[in-house]
Amino acid sequence: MKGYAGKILFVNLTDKTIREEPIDPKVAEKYIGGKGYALYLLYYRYLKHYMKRGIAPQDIDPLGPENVLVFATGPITGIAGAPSPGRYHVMALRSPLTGSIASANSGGEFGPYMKFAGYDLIVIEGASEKPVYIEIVNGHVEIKDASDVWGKTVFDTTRILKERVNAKNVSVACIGPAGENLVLFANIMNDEHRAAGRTGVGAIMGSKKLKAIVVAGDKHLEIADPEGFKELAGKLIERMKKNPVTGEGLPKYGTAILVNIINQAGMLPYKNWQYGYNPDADKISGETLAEKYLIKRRPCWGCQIGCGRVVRVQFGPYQILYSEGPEYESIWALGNDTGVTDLEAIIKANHYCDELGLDTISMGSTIATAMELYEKGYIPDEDLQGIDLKFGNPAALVEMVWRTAYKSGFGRMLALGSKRLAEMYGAPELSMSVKGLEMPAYDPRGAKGIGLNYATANRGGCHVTGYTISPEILGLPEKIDPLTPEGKAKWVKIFQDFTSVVNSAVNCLFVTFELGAKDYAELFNKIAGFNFTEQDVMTIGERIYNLERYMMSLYGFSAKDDTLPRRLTHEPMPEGPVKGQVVELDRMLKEYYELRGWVNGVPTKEKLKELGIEP
Amino acid sequence: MPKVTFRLFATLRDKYKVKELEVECDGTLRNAVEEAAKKIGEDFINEVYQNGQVRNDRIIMINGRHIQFIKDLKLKDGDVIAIFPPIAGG
Repeated sequence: MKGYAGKILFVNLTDKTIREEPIDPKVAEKYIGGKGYALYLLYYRYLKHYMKRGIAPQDIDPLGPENVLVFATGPITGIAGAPSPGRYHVMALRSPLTGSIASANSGGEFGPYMKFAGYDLIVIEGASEKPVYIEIVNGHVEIKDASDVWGKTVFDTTRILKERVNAKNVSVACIGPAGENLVLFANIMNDEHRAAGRTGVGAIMGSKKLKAIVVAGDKHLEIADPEGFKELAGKLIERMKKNPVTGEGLPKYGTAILVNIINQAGMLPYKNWQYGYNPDADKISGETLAEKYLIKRRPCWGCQIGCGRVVRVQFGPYQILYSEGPEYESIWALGNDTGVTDLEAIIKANHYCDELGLDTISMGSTIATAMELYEKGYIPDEDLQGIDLKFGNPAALVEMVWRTAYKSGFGRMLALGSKRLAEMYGAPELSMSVKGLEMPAYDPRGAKGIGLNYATANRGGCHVTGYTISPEILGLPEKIDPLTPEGKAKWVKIFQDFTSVVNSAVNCLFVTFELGAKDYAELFNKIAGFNFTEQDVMTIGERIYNLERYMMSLYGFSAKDDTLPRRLTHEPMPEGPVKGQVVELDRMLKEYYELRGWVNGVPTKEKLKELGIEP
Repeated sequence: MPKVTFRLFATLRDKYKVKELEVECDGTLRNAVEEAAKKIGEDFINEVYQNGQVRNDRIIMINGRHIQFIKDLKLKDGDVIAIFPPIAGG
């Protein structure tokens, strides 16, 4: 198939078998690639098969050999000249953090180079007894001994494994010590500083004793209509360049530009979501980052936006001469949420997260939960081994990051994530998570739609599943009132379905600040020879979202799990611009389920049939 | 005469070389913007208004609330007007 590398690689780490099969055009037409194609494989090839063999879905151990991990690109990934084509998606049957589907997305070079190495998807089955890594060079696949890099950091592992390959376009995706030590929110890092961050996909690799995947190659990707694609891409890129967000704001300030606006709107969660406004937020803003620490940008492969930051802290206790990021979410979680407004400490903590392989959102949020637990007397001093875990302590923040990766001292507790931590100390309401996944940097008491999205996002407390902040706060594609629950269900559904398409394309979500479903239909048609309409694209998104939700229902998830922490629905915002607000979740949920055609939070048989998921 | 504070962000800070400024005004946004423009440059009026209307491609908040959703636009002493160019992230 044009636009695709054309092959799926299956590697079984238990019996060390390697096999491959071609991309199925019929599946591609229904699920595109990336997240969609990966979900198709996980459901029809594995979950259904397990059920036939009498294995109950809820008995699948996320850290057992029966879990299946998929690295997935799509038809837009790695296509030179396409809008921001440098991303790939990671999926697994179950997340160790949430018990739901594991799902994460990353940029850098790995996705494109994986296709240049010859594969659209890489499926990892089983588990190895000894540490291994997989090396894929121009379609040649080997499982290699990783005992000499086991225990090493992300940066060392990447450098060493890259040096062993003599080929063009080498990229490494690996885990750090956090993944090896099965920290439940360990991530997969590629190209040193890029993270498939969420839902603990790094711990899944660790449980399989898979240290890394190395890809390299120079396979040429064919395009169905090269002339038509060139003309289309030219127009789309021109629009992105003219758009003040994709053409100026993101390149100049990166994602951290959001710190000030979200704070001004009174919804930048502060001190574990006790407040929504931080008077000192400008100290950790994108403007301050650009003014004091930015050296240059590092765009993902082929990206026309280039939001990636390269930073340096020249002197002092948090000196670091080269680092990347920190992104908005990382600054918020490691900084604002913990009450730390020392940007140098945040940069250092972010660097450790990259070096050791930890999701910055869950890490920061879990530390913030621990700080509130400590200040309220739930955590006794003796558990902390002398560390003053109070809000706003930068040294404690940096210390706790590496302790978590190595499960050292109190780090052993933090490694479980905020939900388990708060439960163990007897105050489950202090974990600011949904389905066990720590929520990101927007308090929905100030934008009701994002609250509905957090509650219904399949992977748990996630913003990018349905980013209604775009219309509610940023006015894109139009301004809607953030404080009303009216009409939000429709927006949430559209964003969740459309994002499922973007994650199956796979390209960067940021292009959707300019491009819509019609543009995606045309891109798919020109690149891969499909005949999609705008409506087809949205239906594919709905299919993917429903399949994922249906799989979750087999694990036992239902409407009871589509909730928010009590703080957001019952504690009015105490001060600031949205003082007095709570999230009117029940009202929005009712409308959302009706729009979705779900009963009790689960797709009906009719819905599954309508979308062609089950006959 | 109410005193109000303007806060500028992102590229607007670079352009006007100021993060925050206080002005006295007659209680209307138009007058507050004109008073600010006297201090930081006439072009500032064009950041907020286009053809006499508040620009839809700027994010303008008064005390954290988007201007589009404020029913009574009369400014009071201590009000904060935050102005952003189009920005996004995630």
